[in-house]
Amino acid sequence: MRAWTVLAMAAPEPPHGATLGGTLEVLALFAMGVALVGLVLVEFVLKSRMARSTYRWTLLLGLFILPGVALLGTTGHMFESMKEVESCQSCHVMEPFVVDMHDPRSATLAARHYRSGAIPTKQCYACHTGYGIFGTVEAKRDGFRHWLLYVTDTWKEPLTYKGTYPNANCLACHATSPTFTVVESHGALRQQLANDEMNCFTCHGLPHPARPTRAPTRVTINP
Amino acid sequence: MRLPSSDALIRAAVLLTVMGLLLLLPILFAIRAGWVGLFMLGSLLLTVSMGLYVVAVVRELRRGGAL
Repeated sequence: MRAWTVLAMAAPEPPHGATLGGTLEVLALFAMGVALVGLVLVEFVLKSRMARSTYRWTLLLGLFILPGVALLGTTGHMFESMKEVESCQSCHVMEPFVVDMHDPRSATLAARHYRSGAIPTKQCYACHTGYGIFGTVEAKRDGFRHWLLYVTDTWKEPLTYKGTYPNANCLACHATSPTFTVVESHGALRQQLANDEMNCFTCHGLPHPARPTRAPTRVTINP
Repeated sequence: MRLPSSDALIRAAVLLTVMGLLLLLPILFAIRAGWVGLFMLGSLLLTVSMGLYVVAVVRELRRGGAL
């Protein structure tokens, strides 16, 4: 591996300007701070000195509007942050997958995509979200299922992909790229690929390390 | 069954909101599996507190003859 490739991988470029997640975080923090200070002051210090109507209106702000803004901001920030590789890696179950992706010697599809810089950020999300109209919703549903399995310590090793990986996720980027269209066999297999009758991995190798080669991730006493 | 007074309902709503907002805080700083659970609990507390506030206000308005 050339030195510049390693350097490029070691220092990913930070996002420019304000991000949606960052803006929502600031909004949520502001709403939380104002609501917390305001509620404590109004309910425990100023209540007896305030007119009843002023008290009610202030509570409308502190109990309804500001917490609503804080909840929406936090939810939006959380959903945005969940797209980052670090959030997937925060469950140690995903550690072998992320470590492999960052491994400069790995030959898996995930590592090759990462090395080439084809997916510069949010690599897990880019490949594990359906590109249909409900792709994000399905990703959130799957994420919630993974979270439940993780916190209840009921996941089974080795981890397996539920269902069949849809070729549409690969084709969303590759279908129109010259490096894809120039290959004759892709044209010949177009129908099979579109109908998921043949998987991209059949010819292009595994996206992640094979199950027997992954280190066990469970650290609890359950087998 | 005798319901608690509006003041008691609002006091409970305030306490639940304060707890709910504090539970939302950790997830804003880092995404961790355990903190997602805190976020869910915080969301639940905030929803309950909003419900309590609505009940208290509706009761006061009914008592005043506005509803």
